[in-house]
Amino acid sequence: MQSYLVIMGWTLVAGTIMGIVFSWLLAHGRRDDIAVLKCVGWSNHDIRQLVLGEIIFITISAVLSIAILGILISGFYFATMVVLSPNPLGNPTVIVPAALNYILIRPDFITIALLAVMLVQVPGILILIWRTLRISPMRALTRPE
Amino acid sequence: MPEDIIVAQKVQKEYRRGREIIHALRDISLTIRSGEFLVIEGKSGCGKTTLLNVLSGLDRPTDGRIIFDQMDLTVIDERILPKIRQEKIGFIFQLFNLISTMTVYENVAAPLWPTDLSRQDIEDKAMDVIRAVDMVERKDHIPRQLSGGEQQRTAIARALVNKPKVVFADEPTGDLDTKTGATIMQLLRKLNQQEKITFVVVTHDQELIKYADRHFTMSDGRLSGGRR
Repeated sequence: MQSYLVIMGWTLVAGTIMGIVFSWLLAHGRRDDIAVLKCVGWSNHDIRQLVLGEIIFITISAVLSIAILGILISGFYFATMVVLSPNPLGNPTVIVPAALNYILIRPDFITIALLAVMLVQVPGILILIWRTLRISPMRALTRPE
Repeated sequence: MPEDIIVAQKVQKEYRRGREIIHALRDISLTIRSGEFLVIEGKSGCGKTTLLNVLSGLDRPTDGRIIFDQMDLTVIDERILPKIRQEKIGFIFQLFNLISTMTVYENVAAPLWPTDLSRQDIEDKAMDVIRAVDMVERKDHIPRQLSGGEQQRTAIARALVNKPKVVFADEPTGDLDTKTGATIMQLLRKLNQQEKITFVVVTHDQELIKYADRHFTMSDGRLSGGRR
């Protein structure tokens, strides 16, 4: 149990660091676009909404994609095990519940995973918002010499 | 008699670079009338872009006043400035500054997205200006699929979509060949005359002076001229 908690803790720390790095790169790579949007009249409030909307969309998409991928992989694994088994379970009334139990991810697990991912994203989101709000619209007018 | 849309009074702008103080703008006074096509010409580094930043409210002068459409930009709450830019100002850039992942239509419509306009109204307004710059057939293309001239026409449409009172253009032909640059300037002049939009163009290219109602020359942070 203790080692399980240590692994969980390190996973959360690693996720947080990755979230911060990802947010930093995202803000850095989009400085010019954000400066242009500010030039054409987007307020900091509008930019904040855009950034938050994108992050929430990416996070939910990522968690759902991973969940679907997990179902497919575990389904494939279960099917392979059944086929290769020297003593096949045979009776569908036994196989189907066993397969569903093995393959399907419980909704509460997905919700917990989503919340955990959202939680580790918070520092990154705050950095991203801070960085984007500091971008000056004048940046759009600076030219490479 | 056209009204004064921008009045700059004794504007100074100083930057500190280490211990050195850079005087980017020195005692500039200028009145721009509504519907005018103004060209400010000068060499690289003379302060043209700084002047454009200050006149458009993107930056604040160190001293002096900027009155834009009867509002003093030097004392106005910074939170109001995006609204002013959204409703009254358009920008055209040398490097077009289109958002690379968006189509022509999306780039043009982007200034209207944070407004209260309905989706249909946004589409109508965006298509109106896309039509005006003759880009209807390219509206679903992304910037890298367009020529330089087409990208600048898209940027012009974006600058006009909110029906601004003033369009500031920073070296609008700087990244275009001579022929395309002339076409773009003719388009700007046509829009100026048809829509009565004020244009303030800053450039290093003396060729653009011929399109101006009035032109100024900028040198070492000072403005001279104002000839018609």
